[in-house]
Amino acid sequence: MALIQITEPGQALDPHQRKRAAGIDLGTTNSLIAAVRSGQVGVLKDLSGVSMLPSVVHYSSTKVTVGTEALSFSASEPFNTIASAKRLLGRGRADLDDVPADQRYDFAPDDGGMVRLQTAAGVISPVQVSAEILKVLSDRGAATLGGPLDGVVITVPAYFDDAQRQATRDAAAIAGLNVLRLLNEPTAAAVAYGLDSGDEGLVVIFDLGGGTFDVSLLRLSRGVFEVLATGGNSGLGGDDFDALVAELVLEKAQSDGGLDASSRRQLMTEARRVKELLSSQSQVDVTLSLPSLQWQGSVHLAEFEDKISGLVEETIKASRRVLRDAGVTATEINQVVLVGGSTRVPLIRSAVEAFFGRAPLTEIDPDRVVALGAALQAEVLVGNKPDDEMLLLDVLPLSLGLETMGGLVEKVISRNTPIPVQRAQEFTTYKDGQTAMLIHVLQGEREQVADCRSLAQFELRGIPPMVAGAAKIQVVFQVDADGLLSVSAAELGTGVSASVTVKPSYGLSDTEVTDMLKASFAYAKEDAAARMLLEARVDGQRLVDALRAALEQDGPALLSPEATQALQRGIQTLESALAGDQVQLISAETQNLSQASDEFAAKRMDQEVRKALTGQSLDGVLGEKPITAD
Amino acid sequence: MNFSQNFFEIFQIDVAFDLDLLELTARYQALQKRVHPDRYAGQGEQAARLATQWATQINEAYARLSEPLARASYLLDLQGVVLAQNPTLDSAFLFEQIELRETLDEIRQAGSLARAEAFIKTLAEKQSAEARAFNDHFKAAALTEATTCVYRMQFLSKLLLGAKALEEELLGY
Repeated sequence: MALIQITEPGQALDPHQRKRAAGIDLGTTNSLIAAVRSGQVGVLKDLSGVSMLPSVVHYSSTKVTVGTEALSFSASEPFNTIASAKRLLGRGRADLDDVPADQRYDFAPDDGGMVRLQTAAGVISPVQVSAEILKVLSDRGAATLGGPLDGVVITVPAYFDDAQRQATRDAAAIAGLNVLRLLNEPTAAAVAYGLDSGDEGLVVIFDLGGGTFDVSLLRLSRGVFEVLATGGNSGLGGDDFDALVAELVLEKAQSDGGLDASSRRQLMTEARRVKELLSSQSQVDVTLSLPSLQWQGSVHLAEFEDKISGLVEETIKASRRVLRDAGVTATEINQVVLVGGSTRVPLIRSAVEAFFGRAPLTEIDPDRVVALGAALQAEVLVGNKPDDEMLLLDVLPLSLGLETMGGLVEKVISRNTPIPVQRAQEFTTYKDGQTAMLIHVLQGEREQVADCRSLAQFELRGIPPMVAGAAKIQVVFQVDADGLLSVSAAELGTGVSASVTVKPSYGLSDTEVTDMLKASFAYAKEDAAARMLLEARVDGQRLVDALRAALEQDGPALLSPEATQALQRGIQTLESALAGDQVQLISAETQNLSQASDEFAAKRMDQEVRKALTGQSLDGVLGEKPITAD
Repeated sequence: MNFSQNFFEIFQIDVAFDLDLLELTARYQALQKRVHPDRYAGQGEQAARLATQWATQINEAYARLSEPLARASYLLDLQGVVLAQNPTLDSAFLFEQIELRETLDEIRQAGSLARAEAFIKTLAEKQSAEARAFNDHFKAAALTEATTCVYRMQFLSKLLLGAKALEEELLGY
């Protein structure tokens, strides 16, 4: 299996031109960063040789600590020590009723949006907690790879909805990372297993992590990874197993469960230890001496399995549903890959094996496989492997819809639709002279608004006054390759574009992200102006480099000599701006050149499309059919 | 980007209902390999925008051509046929539809998963028969008859959606 070995192509890039890319697995319990170095992919370790960073952040009034050091505060300062923040990303207070959240977090007063936490450092968003973890990993990457990272791939559960993906993106922005792609964890795992190389067929990725469960069906053919269907539960994972072990212990100790926060933390830590040991032994002895609970006894594997059987059954049910969505049966599956530390639980392994009728692949450490796959993909996306033909095609994990009369949801894009995708929906006014309209965007499979996840409310204003039913308002949903939604609207009859005000239900506004960026520790140390200049220069230089290479390659074929000269003059203008230090001038010139080269870029893209089909050894019907670029 | 190309032109295949799905998929993948935004990651906003537009268009083209009813409606659309919102269909077909709806209601009352699955199979077979009929009429340039087939497929497809929703309900999803 072509696991960790990557052979560089003949025309390997000049080492000085190689870009620094990394894959980040931002996990519920632990996070990892991996990268390709000297053709080998591996996880990056910290100074003490440890690769796993506990996804825990401790806040004091003066300092933020992350990882193992933060973990040591979890018993003494449970509310200042934020664990499992991934579960809170893009979530409102009402979404968290099923986890014993009050025991673990001190929530700030509910404002109906994404939850926020009270800490010694003030009110903190889970996005900021995630950003702190990303920063530590990013610094580790920079230290190991010899400079700041040019780009990263961050993995998310396939089942993450728009609010959760957006929150992850925002966290990366606050951490100052250039995100090449949000990659679904199961897809990353398939990449890590090298399943692209020659393997064809259907692969199931069964991913049970600390706090999330995903099951995805992928079709591999000709180097294309296509996600056919995906499902799972973004609130089910190892944490729930720990909670069940804790419950079991409390039952055995005949405790009413009324523990203080610190004791509860210690109990959870003990529960995790018991769970982990039960993966390799049939009985674990427990001694608890907490302020409010003293108990000595043992927990048996059979008791544990009995306790978790409901959750295990849920994972199998989700697997069955994914197969059904894709219209395939378990016998058609060629490979099953296990991902996530929780798949070490023997009952999970045997249930998966029984359901799919085959032994799952487990060669790569299930805790590392996602980060390794992300690193491989980052290497491709950053441009270090120009010959790589691997392509990952994703689908929308959950249907997108709009609220209609009577609190019902009308689906606009259904789940498992390949992305990027764009769909339009038409609305009309119901009152004479109506000039505004409120549109509520939802995500989920259920019919009732109350059962779906609210993503945003859009208010359309400036609709020309007409009689009821005469206005034709077109709302366009666009989902990009990262699975992120954007919405635009226009009145078709008059061509007046209605203005759209977006109020994300569980997300952060752009201003909030900017404020958090400014407030962030790393940012405070830097000169804000210097950072803006740096970013403007990177953007400008990127355009210069890309355009120069494009002109060399395709200028003669696609452009008139005059057009080529005009673009070259534009490059020179931008370069002289880049030599200076005026941020606004650099941005303006970058914008100008970008606009001036738009047509050329479009022509090149059209040419790519032509090449794609003429390059195919298909049945010969393909002439050099000219496609007009416009 | 040339949005005036029709979806068959995008894939450079003949305009027909009975196309080779494997061939279509191969071409779809070949195109996505060239235009997917991943190929232009880190190349700036302009490249990302163009790539996303193309990849979106190719996904749309594939969605319209790979699914029989969508493909049949699209073919009629290309021929300038405007589909009616409330088409008139012969009473025998409508009567059968009413009976099928009643059957679906009975299955819902009975809560029988096995019957729901059998019903879905029956509907799918009827749907394939209509698709074959469409193909014959379309090839013979009998657009009126072909259009009737599309209307029938629309009815069946709605019923099929209802049956599948019931199946999901019975499966406890």
